[in-house]
Parts: sequence; C-alpha cells; structure tokens
Amino acid sequence: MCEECGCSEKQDSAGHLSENINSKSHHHSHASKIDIGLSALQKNDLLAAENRQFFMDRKVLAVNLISSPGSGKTTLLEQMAKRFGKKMAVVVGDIQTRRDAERIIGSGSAAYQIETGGACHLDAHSVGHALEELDFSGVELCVIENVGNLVCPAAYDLGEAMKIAVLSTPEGDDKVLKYPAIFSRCSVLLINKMDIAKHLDFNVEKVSRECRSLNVNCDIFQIAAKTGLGIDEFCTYLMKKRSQYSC
Amino acid sequence: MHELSIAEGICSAIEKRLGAPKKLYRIYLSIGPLSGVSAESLEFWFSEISKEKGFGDPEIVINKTRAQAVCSNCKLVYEIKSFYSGCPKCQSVERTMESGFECNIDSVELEEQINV
Repeated sequence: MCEECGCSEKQDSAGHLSENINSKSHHHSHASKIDIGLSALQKNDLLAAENRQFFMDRKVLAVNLISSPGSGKTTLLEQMAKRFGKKMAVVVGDIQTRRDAERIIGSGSAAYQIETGGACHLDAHSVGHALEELDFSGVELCVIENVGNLVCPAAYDLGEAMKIAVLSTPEGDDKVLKYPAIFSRCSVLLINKMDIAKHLDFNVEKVSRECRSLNVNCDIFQIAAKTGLGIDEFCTYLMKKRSQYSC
Repeated sequence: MHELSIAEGICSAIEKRLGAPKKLYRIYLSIGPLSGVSAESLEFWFSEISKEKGFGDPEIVINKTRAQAVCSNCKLVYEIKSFYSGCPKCQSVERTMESGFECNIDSVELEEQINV
C-alpha cells in the first residue's frame, strides 16, 4: 500500500517499489483516466478512406484479393485480364519479384507491382502510392492482389469495396474456421482448382457451411482458373456489383 | 509479424488524442477474436517500444472481447463461445458477425509525479 495516499502501488519493470516515502518524488497514478477510443489501426484506416474516395470518384470497383500463396490468385487475374483488358487495373503485392505484374500485363491489363521487401501484407499507405502510378482512364475494376497470406491482410483496410478470399481445393476443406479473421470479413469466397477436386478429399458443402457460419452474406463461387471454369460468371458478378456500388 | 507496427499504431493513436507523447501509468486495450491480432505478441511489442516513444513503461491491461453474432434465422444477437456452435435459440449456424474485429485503445492513465 502506498503510505503517501493509501492506494495500491505498481511495480516497474525492474521490480522496484517506491518504498522510500521520504524521497523527493513518488510516482503513482490517481485515476487521471483519459478516454482514447481509437483503433490501433486508425492511421491506416484514414489512408484507406482516402483510397476509397479515390475509387468512388472514378466509379471504380476496388477489390482486395486475399489467399495463401499458391492458391491461384495470379492465374485467376490472367483469366480476368483476357476478359476485361484495359478496363481492369491491378496492384500486386509480393515480398520479392515483379513476376505477377508481368504475367498480368502480358494478359492485357495494366498492373503495378509493390515489392514489400519483407512486410507480410499490403497497407493503405503503399496501395495509395501505387494508385498514383496507374492510369485509371477507362478503368472500371481495380484488383489489389494482396501478399499471399491468410492471416495478416485481414486486419488492413486498403480502401476496397470488398474483400475476396480464394481457397484452392489442394489446401483442404478445414481452413475456413482456422482463419476466422479473414473469412468473416470477405464478401466473396472463390473455391479454386475445382478441376482437380475429384482427386482430393475436398468437401465443398463443408466449406460453404463454415463460411456462412462466419458471414451468411458471403457469395461463394466454384472456379478453376486454369481451365476458365466459372470465370465468366464471376466477372459478370463483379460488373453487377460495380453498378450497385456506383449508385 | 506485424504486431510491432500495430504497437506503433497504438503510440500514434494515443499521441493524436493527447497532443504529444506522455508518460503513462496504465493503458487499456480491447482486442477481439476476429481482429487478426495476437494479444500476447502485441503486449510484448508495445512494452518494447513504449519507452523510446516517450510513453514510459505503462501496465498493459487487455480486455479480450468476444465476437457477437446476429442469427440470420431468428435474429437473436448472441456471444460466440465457439465458432462450431449454433444459435442458442434456434441452433442455426448461419449468421453475420457484429463485433469481435476490434483492436482498440480504450483509455490511458497518465503517470503523475507527486512530490513529497
């Protein structure tokens, strides 16, 4: 007990208690509690809001594409680039290499590569700079291909209209409840590599059920980016969403 | 790992509210199960950087919140104890999450120096 005023004392990290009541200064708190009421990510969220306004001003539907490495995001974007061409612009995030941006440009859409050098996710700051490097005239859709990671990107708003998660059949059908932070936030789940699902023990119904248990409003598509299965339907869906968001 | 950058975000949020870094006695955080943030890792990183950022060495009190869901069948609002369990009223497992995404700084207590 603090002999100065009777309150209970806290130890500092070195384990010292302020025991000498005759010392000049005696540190403790007397409930000068100040409300903060801010998110730890408020700086990112403010920048995300600027990105969101950027997209709205240009009537561009922006989507944040999130998945594990190797689920087929870039192959999907190659297929989308063949259909959308210059109506789509892509911001790609990877730790290293420009490979993904080059593949997308080769398929007909503009793409800008962010090499994070180590960061495990994109943030609104880096996306904001990338948007300055792309020409948005005639663009209707902007896909932000996040760093391959099912954990960290969930927390970071980039200014997108919706988060889209990709889960591929070889990854297994038990992943949705293992990663609730991302699957509870996404508006769309793309189940990719359906062309090889018959060789795997992948239960689509289980994935759909668990996804709806985190967000009943999530729209689920079964696709195969390699063969083009389900891609036309998904692209039509995106354009319908664009007209809904543009109103 | 990005709990370091989130700890830096906490410092900048407090500085925004207080106007300048100030030595803190205690900091109160709320972290939800859907935040994507590890409370233990965040506590570690915040204590690593708080002194150099001018916030002293505050005690860190973390309120681990529960996710709240709205049942899409009967509209009951309930706390999620397990993601495998259904609505306590109608057992439906179809719902939307209303909360549990937060990683917030609720309040701080300033370190005050009282001269004897």
